[in-house]
Order: sequence, then structure tokens, then C-alpha cells
Amino acid sequence: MSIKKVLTGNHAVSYGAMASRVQVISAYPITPQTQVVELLSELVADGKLDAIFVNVESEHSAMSACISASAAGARAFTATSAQGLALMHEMLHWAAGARLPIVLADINRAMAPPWTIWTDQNDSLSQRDTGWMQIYVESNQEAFDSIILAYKVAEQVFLPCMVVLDAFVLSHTSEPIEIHDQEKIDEYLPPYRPMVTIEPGKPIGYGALAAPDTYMEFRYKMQRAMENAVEIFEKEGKLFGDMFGHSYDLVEPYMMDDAEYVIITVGAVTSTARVAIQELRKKGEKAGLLKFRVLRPFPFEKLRELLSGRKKVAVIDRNISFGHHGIFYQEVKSALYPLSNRPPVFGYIAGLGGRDITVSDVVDIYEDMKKRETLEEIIWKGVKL
Amino acid sequence: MIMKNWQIPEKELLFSGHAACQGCGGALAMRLALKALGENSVATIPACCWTIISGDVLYHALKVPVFHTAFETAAISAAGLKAGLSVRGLKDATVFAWAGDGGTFDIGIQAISGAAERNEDIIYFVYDNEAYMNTGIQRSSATPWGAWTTTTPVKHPEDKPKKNIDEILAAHKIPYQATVNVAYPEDFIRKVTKAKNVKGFRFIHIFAPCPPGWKMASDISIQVARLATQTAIFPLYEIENGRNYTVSYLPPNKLPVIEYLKMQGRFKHLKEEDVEHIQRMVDENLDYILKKHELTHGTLENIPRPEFYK
Amino acid sequence: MDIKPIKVNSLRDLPEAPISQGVTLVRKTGTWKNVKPIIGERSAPCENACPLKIRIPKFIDYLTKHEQDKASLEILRWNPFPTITGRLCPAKCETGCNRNKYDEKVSIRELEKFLGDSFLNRKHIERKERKAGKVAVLGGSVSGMAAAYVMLSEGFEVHLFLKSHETFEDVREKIPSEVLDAEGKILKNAGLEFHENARFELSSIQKEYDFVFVSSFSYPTMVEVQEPKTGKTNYEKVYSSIEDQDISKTIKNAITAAYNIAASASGTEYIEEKLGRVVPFKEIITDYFNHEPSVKEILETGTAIQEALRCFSCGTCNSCGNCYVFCPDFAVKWVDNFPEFDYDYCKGCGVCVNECPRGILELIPEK
Repeated sequence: MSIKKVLTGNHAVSYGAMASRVQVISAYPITPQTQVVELLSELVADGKLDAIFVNVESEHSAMSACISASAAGARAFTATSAQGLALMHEMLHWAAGARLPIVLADINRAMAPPWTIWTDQNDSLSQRDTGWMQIYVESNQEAFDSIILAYKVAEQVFLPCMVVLDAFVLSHTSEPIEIHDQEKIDEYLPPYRPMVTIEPGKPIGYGALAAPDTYMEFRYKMQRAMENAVEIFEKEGKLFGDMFGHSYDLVEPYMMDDAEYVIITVGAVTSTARVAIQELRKKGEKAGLLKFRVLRPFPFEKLRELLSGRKKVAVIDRNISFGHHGIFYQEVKSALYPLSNRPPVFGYIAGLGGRDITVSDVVDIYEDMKKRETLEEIIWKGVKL
Repeated sequence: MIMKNWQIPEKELLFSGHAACQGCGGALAMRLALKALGENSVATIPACCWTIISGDVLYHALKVPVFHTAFETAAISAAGLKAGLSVRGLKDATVFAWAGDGGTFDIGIQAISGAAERNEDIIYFVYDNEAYMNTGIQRSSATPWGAWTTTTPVKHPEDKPKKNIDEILAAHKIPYQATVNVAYPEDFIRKVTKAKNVKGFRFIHIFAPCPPGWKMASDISIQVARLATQTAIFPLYEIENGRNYTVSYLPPNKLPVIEYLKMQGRFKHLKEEDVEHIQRMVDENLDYILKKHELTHGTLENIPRPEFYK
Repeated sequence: MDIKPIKVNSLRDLPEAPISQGVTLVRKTGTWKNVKPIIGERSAPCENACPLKIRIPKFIDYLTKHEQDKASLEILRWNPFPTITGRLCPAKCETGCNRNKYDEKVSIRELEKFLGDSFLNRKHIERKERKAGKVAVLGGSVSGMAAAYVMLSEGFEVHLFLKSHETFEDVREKIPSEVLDAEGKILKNAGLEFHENARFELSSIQKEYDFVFVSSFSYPTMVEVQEPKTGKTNYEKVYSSIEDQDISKTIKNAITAAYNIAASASGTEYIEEKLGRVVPFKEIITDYFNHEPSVKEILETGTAIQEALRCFSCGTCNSCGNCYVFCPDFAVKWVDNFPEFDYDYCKGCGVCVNECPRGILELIPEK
């Protein structure tokens, strides 16, 4: 039987991991992620979660422990933020290259210096090319659900998956959560069946040197797995809806049917944008919202289908690739390039280091986009110039 | 199987065709260690010579599985494997990390300290060839005072003493640690076997000669390794719980360090006073270990002193 | 073990994750070498010093492996009467023993005596299955008996002509008579025909026998040795040997003559097996030996083995195992307790050569 709980985003993640029956957890404290593993260590210690908690001395080791535990055939989980994720970077490559379906919750936090603990996406987006799948969630319920969904997809394509949520806006904010019936979750997410395991009696070398005559083929296989993951995300997201009442997709349209001007958001700001779109609709604007949920694998087809023929598109990026633009902006724009009727896309940098993005900010962005002509200019929203 | 000099397990868990250089002490170390560890084992190897020695993505040189991992992660990688195997019910498997001195004394020491402090149930092996050999002989904190490496050239040889990794581990009060030398295979296998039967974090420090890195002919590899112990440059001893020291062997006639140094090109440039300095450091270190032994056992009389120590 | 190389022609030939599919035996790392170890022809100073060239390290090796009868038989290949030499020879082997330079010699003669005596009741002469001919041995001194022994083993019908009834007359006073009687009985059991109190002319004997061996101890003036190396005398098909103060040389001369008779009978030439180059003390790696006093008197197997274990076994493989144990490439295989090189994987590092305590192995250029 499902139950309702009021949970912070962090605890929603912990419960998501418990519901996924993770077997090995290894983590290191960092604000704002800490509560995720605090609760998990308590659940393990209390015997409520049958898992081993490896209380490591760094995030680098946390990821390493998850990697080898996963290679030994266990379902492994960790969580981190910002500097912690950056420290894991080397091992993120390792997890993906070894094709291990580890799930990591990243509580988006901006990178130092200057020191900050508040949200933006530069930490997770810096890991875009490591071979991890990335899900950006909008709510605590979605955080809980996405952990389960992440394992379901990861264990089919044998790639690790990151579930990303905003610091404080979600991590430390309480919302009512439906904790689904465990029996049904077990039915949805059966025990981990590894592709290969490191165990006595199976003398294999795992991850040894590949010369130029073989390396590229392994990378090709990773890319193919990523490509296959698009369909699996769609299928599993639908199945999740059938079983638990809320389905998920890689990109999710809101009021898009007749929308001429579209705003694209990622993460918790989507909820803010929903209100803005409602307001704009009330004013008679043909405004639509596209929630960008899964960055990797990249949902080319769906994105093109949803944006083809629109008048204009604005992307709100809570991140920046210095010397270029916001990262989602770049990605959306390049995805639309092959379309003959591609809309102009405008990129807005907003909310870095936890600065609020308000409903009126989104409305402003909408208005700005409508009148704007120049495409290449980087547009800062809210910076004190 | 009759071998007059040795009683060692017959089973070979290392295939020929591995990629070690001629006379590699690290390769022999693995061969001996596997004889003691047996097949119910899994290994993890970080970046080091053994990354290459163990084969490649197509062919594997060991009859136990190896999970390759990043340079600084050997200890935690082993701990993760142990955790993963444990939750799958494979609790009795021996999990070991196998790293070089760079991966241990330098880049890996954080993860080692963490795993040692948590008393993870793994065996950590360091095959110590006293420099970054796989990358082409750069100094590590395991490089001894006075040695040439490509980053401590002859005009400016290594001017820091070798880091005392054994004392660092002892400070973690791990249940068992030992120094072993490939030139003393029975002692080597006895200690690895002992380690295998202890629970918790175990640390085996292997003296592993490297002919190319030490600038010596490959055939004297074992001879030089033996001299390291005969001169007390690398004493053989065990520490239990960070407290109880047992010296495994003392040569009846301790040789002067020059006997060891003169065999190797990496020490060729040393002057007489340099050799004296090394002799003093070696004597001090041996004295320290012997005092610890005496503190533990109340005597030095129980230390074996045969000429032919195995 | 399937060691076929893996061909990677397409994605399908590789697993999804980077996991090995084969073993490194595919890689014949033996191709790296430019030198290779071989078991060289070497020998010990002891066996070189011994006039009889008894393969001393070999019999000692058998003894240490608890193969005492094989040890005795190994001596008998070279010396028919270790019971005699073990008591009377000047033990030049011991003077030459490399162990003198370490602590003290191995008591080789004591071991020889022990192995001779202890085997006496099981000793018999293995006779070659052939009709080699009929020979007469004139005189029952040690040389005559030794020649008779060899010719019996070579398949001859051997007749021994004694002045009286006594054999081994030259050593009777120095060796317990039960030992000599037992040795005589062994020859008799092997078919030696005794002609006691014999009176004869050499010419008549010559007519009746294909070959004659004359003991120059028993009949010092009967013939004259013209070719000491073969024992040929001034009479055709009559052989003899030179007597020496060193009893082992006496025996050596006699058995050499006997082997020459056998070779002559079969129309071949007797060529003595040569010993390899001597291993000097400086080639012995003493790190593999402990200082231990020698056992001076050996009366039972325990002390015999104890003493035998002191032997450096210079130049003779005694299965110490160093080459096998220290090979980083597992290219030295241990086959029937002896090393065998697997050149497919031997990289030619030379560790085995350097660690062989007894100078047996050498590196030669790889073609």
C-alpha cells in the first residue's frame, strides 16, 4: 500500500534509494546533499534497509566504492553536490566506461570560488560528457520517482544515471510525497542482473588496456547504448505512469498545443514557469512551456517534434559555459539546426549561485524574447549590471 | 613435487605471456602472492606497472578476476568489491588491492588511510619498486635517499628519505601488516597466508626490484633484492594491531649497504659520505624496529638468524 | 586451454563492457629474448678429482631424495667396489670439495662406504643379454675382480684363475673378510667361474679364451702393458692394467681395460663419458647454504642424509627449485622434479641462471 509522507527533496531521494533496494551506499558529506546520506545511514543502521553503508573519506572514494561494488554485482548508490561531484569526475568516467548502472543523486550546487552552497547546474553540466545519463527533476515527488526510474533504465542499458535536483529549492523544501507500494516497486524494478561480475572463479580482466584497434569500438557501444536509452526512458516512463499514476518523459510539454512562443526550463524553476505561463495565457498570449527533463540521452526527435514551427523559443539556463552560452541553450539550438522551419532560439542566463528566478522573471524573459531579433547575444537575467 | 630449497604451493595462478619486463620483481611478487591467496580471490589494480603486466582488454594473465581502477583508488576499490560481494553472499572471498609505490605512498594514501581506519576487510599489497616505473622512472615518496630517477637526475639525486609507509599504517592500528621480499619466497608466502586468515585491513609491503628502473641487469634482480634484506635496507618484519612488532629474520652477518648500492646504476654517483649517510639511516631504522621487537617480545633472541632464510 | 588469438573484425567480436575474453598465453613473450638459459655441461671438483669419476653429486642427490638404493647403484655404475674404495681410497674428492672453502668438506668417502656396505646384501650384477664371448681373468686381486665384474656385466662368460683359493688378496688385511667374501659371492652369483689353485701357460689360455685379462698384482711379470689407456699388452687380446698405490686408480685401470675388451669384442671403440667444465667455488651462491659441521662417521641413513644435504651439488641439478621459484614468467616448468624451460615464454632475463646456486645454468645467444 502506498503512503503519503511530507519530505524534503533530500529525504525523498533517500526514500527513493531505499525503495530501489540499493545494496551498497557510499557517500561523503557535503551541503546541501548531506541529509540524503544521513537518512540512508540511519535506515541501514536501523536495519530498515538491507545494505552496506561505506562511510568513506572523500567523494572520489564514494564513487570508487560504488563502482567496484557495482562491478561485484551490487546495486550501488551515492549522492553529492558541487565540489564533491567535481572530485568524482575521474570516477564518473570510470563508472560509465565500465558500463556500471550506478545511480547518483546530485543536489545542484554552484561551484566555488567564491564559496557558495546555493543552487545552479554548473556542477552536473560539467559532467555532461562522462557517459552518465542525466535526469533533472522538478519536484520532490519526481526526485523520489526518478531514482527508481533511473535504476530501471540504467540496468537495461548498462550506463550510470544521475538524478539532479536543485539545492534548497527542492533539497531542503518539504512537499507531500507518495511513497508507492513497495511490492509494486519491486515488480517494476526487479533485482539487479549484472551484465558481468567480478567474483571468485571468473578470472576476467575488467577495464584493462585497449589498444587503438579496440578502444573505439567500446566507445561506439556506449554511444549506441545511450541512443537506445531514449526509447527505454519513454517506455519505462509510461510504464511508471501505468503502475504509479504519474508518467515521465524526456521532455514534457505544458500548454504547448497551440503555443507560438515557448520557454524551456530545467529543474525546479519549471514549477515557477508553469505559473508564469498560466498568467501569460490569461493575458491571451500563446505561451507554452517545455520542461527539459533528460539531458542525456538527448531527446532529439521529441524536441524537434515539439519545437518545429514555433515562432520563438527561449531557454532559461541556470548555468553557463564561459565563453559560450548557457548549456541547454546550445544543446537545444544545435538540435533544431536540421529543421527547415526551425524557430529562433534565445538563451537566458539566470539564477546562478541560487539567485531566485521569480514568476515575473519568467514573464520578463517571455516578453524579451518576443521582441528580440539578435540571436547570438548572451542574455543575462537578473545580473546587477 | 620435490624442491629441495622450497616448500611452496604448487598451483600457478598466473599465466605466462604477461607483459612484465625481464626480471620483474613485481611480476614474481604476484606469482608468489597468488600461490598463497588461492582462487577464491578477486583483485583490483590501479594505475601501475601491473595495469600493463596483467594483459589487455582481450587477454588476461591471472586466474583470478581483476577489476582495473583509477590510480588513487586501490584501497577503496577493494573495499567496494568486498561490500558488493558481501551483499551477494560471497562473504568468504579474499579481496585484495595490488598497487605500486606511487599509487600507495603518494596518490593513493588518502584512500588507504580511509580504508585502514575503517578496518575494511581487504588485503592491500604494495609492490614497491621505489619510483614511478610505468611512466618511466620518476621519483615517488618511496624513492630512497640518494637515488637517481628521471626527475631526480644525477646532479640532483633524491634528497628526501624514503617515506616510512609501514609506520603510517601502524599508526592506523590495523590488525596485520608485514614487509616481504621476493627474494624470500617462503617468508613471503607465509605472511600472505597469515594475512589471508586475518579479518580486517591487512597491508603487505613487498620489496620488488625493477631492473630497468634501478639501472641493473635483469639477471641480478633477485640477488639485489636479497642484498636489500642482508644489508637491512629492507628488513623483514610483521606488525600486529600497530603495536606488536616481530622481526622475521636477521642476517647473521649484516652486510654494509655498499654491497647493495654498488650493484645498481641508480646509486652509481654516490660518494663515500653519501654511502655513510645511507648506512646511518639504515642502522637507525633497524635499531628502531629491533627496539620495537624487544618491547613486544622482551628479547631479541627469538629472531631467526640462519644464513639461508627462505 | 584454448589459446587461439581473438580476431576483432567487428563490434560483435568484442563484449559490451571492456572485459577480457582470453588469456595471455596467446602472447608468446619468448620472442622478446636475445639470450636463453640452458642446462650447461658442468661438473664438481670432487668427481673430477676422483680417479673413477664417480658422479658424486648425482649419488648424493639420490640420497637426499631418500632414494638410497639408486644412490648405491649410481656409485656402482662407476665403481664396482665402494666397500673397498670407501675404506682405502685417499679421498681426493674430499680434498677438492668446494665446501672446504665454506666450512668443511662433505664426508664423501664415508657416504660411499655407507652406500656400498648398506647395499651389499641387495647388490647383484645386472648382465647384458648377449653372447659377448669367453674371457679368462688371471689373478683375483682387486684389479682382477674389478675386471671380472665389468666383463660379467658386459655379458661375457668369465673364468677366474686363482693362484690359491683367495680373492682380493691385495686388500685382505685391510678390509673385513665378510665384506670381501660377500663381494666375491656376488660375482659368483653372477656366473663367475672360479678355477682355484690354477696352474697354466698363458699361451694355452689364449687358445681357449677370446680375451684374457691379467692381474698385474697377481702376475706381475706375465705381460707388459703397452697401452695404459686401453690395457693392451704385448700379447694379442691379452689385457692388463697398472697397479697404483691409490686403490681407486687401480680399479679404474682394470675396469678401463675390461671396457676396452668389451668394445674390442663388439668391434667398437671404448669412449669414456666426459665430465663438464668444473664449477669453481666462486660460482657457488653460498646464500643458499647454512654453515654446518660435517658428519664424520656415517652408520645409518639419517646421518647419511644429513651429510648429503650439506653437499653444494656443484654442477649437478639437485632439484633445489630456485630457477622455478624465481622465474617471474613461470617459464621454468617443474617436470618430474627437474626444471624444463618453456622458451615460448622465457624472456631471457637470466634470473634462473644467476640464482642457480651450483653453476649449472648458462645463458646462450638466442638465434
